[in-house]
Amino acid sequence: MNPAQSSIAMLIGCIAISAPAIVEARIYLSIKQVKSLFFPKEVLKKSPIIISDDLQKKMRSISSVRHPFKGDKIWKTADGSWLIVDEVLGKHEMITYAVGINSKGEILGIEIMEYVESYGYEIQGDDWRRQFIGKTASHPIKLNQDIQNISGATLSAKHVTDGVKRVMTLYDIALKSE
Amino acid sequence: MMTRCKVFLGTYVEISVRNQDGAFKSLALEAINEAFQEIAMVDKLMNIHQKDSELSKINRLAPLGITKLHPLYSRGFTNSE
Repeated sequence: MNPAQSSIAMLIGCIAISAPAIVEARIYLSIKQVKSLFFPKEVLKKSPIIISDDLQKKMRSISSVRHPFKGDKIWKTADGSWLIVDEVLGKHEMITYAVGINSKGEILGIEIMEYVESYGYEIQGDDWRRQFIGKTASHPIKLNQDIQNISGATLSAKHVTDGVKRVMTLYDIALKSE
Repeated sequence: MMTRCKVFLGTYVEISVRNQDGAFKSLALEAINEAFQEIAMVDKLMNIHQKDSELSKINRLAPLGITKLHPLYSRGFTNSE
């Protein structure tokens, strides 16, 4: 075993002992790439906006995303289309995504730009373990039967959906009229 | 290799195309987009997390009688056997 291999083995050993969570970072698209994907020909002008407390509050109540919206990654085309980059909390880490909106206010597309997520917390969670309480040998105790398979991905995908809702709320309240 | 990710079926769907040395970029992108369109169709039909998906409609209508299924379901059943 060479030094690199043995240090990897050490690292894996440590992870196995301390916490069964694995962090995985995936970068799909840069801002430049997402711009050319949604608006290949148009010129995009950076149009950041200051999010007032009132607007922040409205966006939160409509989308139920608690993490504050920053408002610095917003671009506009000459015809009134928009590109908004936002991030939401996945299950434990942030997920960056982009929403393209055309001049009619319709969603052109949603792209996941960066996905950093950790796996393994699901089975540590109280909710998951609580499912076992009260079970006896006569219960199947089988995944997808009487034990729900809690997928971190399913939960965090919902957060992206909520995030898109808040981006569209921002568009409706603040961007549309600009 | 080109990889993109979108949210479908209540989870993350990642599609990669192997294009050596980043060649045929637009072709790779086109292939990914076409594949996503297919998944979008499956999502529209079978996403249990979406209230207006056909699967949700079937679940709602099931107690009331027989519901006609999209042909994609029978393909799904056959493939999963």
